[in-house]
Amino acid sequence: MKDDIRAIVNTSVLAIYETLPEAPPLTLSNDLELFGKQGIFDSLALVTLIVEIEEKLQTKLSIDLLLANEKAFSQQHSPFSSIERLVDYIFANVDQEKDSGK
Amino acid sequence: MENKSITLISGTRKGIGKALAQHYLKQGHRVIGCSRRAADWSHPNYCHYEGDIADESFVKTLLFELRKKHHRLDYLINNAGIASMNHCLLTPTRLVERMMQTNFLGTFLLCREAAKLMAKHQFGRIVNFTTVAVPLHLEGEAVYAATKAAVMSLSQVLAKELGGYGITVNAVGPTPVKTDLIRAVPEEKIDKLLNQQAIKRFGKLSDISNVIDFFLKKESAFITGQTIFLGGVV
Repeated sequence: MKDDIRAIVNTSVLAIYETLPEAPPLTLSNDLELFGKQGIFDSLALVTLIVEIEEKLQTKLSIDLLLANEKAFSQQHSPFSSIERLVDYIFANVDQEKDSGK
Repeated sequence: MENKSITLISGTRKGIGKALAQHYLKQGHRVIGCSRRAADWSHPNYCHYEGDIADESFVKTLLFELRKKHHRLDYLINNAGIASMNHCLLTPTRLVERMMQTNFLGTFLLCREAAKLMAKHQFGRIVNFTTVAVPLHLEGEAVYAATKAAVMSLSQVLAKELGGYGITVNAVGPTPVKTDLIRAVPEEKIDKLLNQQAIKRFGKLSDISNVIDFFLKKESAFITGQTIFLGGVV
């Protein structure tokens, strides 16, 4: 499951990155900073990325998840700061949904 | 991809919502409607969903189905709403919650989920419903007017947040129209209200659809965050 989530995150990051004007070639890595001082995305692109990932989780894995929830905003380190954090965050949420029987 | 415009309208079982659905069906749109109960009318290009727009899972499922079937959404008309006239001292909490849930939360949820789909195509038009009760500060409509003031404010902020995605968000504020919504309002109250309008008559469905047509036009891409009140109410 985690590999599927990682694949969705990677594809989505690339898809949104490609829409940015004059963006230099991008090499994906787990610690790639998505949002923040060195982040590749501004806030608008980050919102688009979140929407893209939510849609892919729903269509490809039948996972219905709101990524920008209260938990995301209350965490000390933003789950949207790097690819690795985002994958871990989604995986943890999916796990929790399963445990709660949703 | 389908050539017809894809239009989602809430509250289409009866009244203004039903009339708007039929108006846009006549214009060749594919219309998706919803209401808490089943519709007693049908059309080959109309699809009805039964559910509560204040229920997040219903709204998410509705938009998921819409995306699966049509792959995009061009227009969202947030018509569904409930009204009740009560003196504030006689307003039950449950009624406040119900009005807030349907009028504000329902509108918000539909805007949020629709905008996700619209953003992908860098195009969308959202029209929300407010009311002349907001600028007229009508007695007996404290809660109804407050929920609709919230919708106005929501529309203005969403206009800014969604402008970058090619989505416009506007609101229309109708005067009383002869529908079930005002059935229980005493005649003298309605007359008093009509007298505060520059043009002192009931609104017609065509008055409302005319404003919405304007907001939906391709040429209205530079019009967002606006509220148009009917009847000359300012």
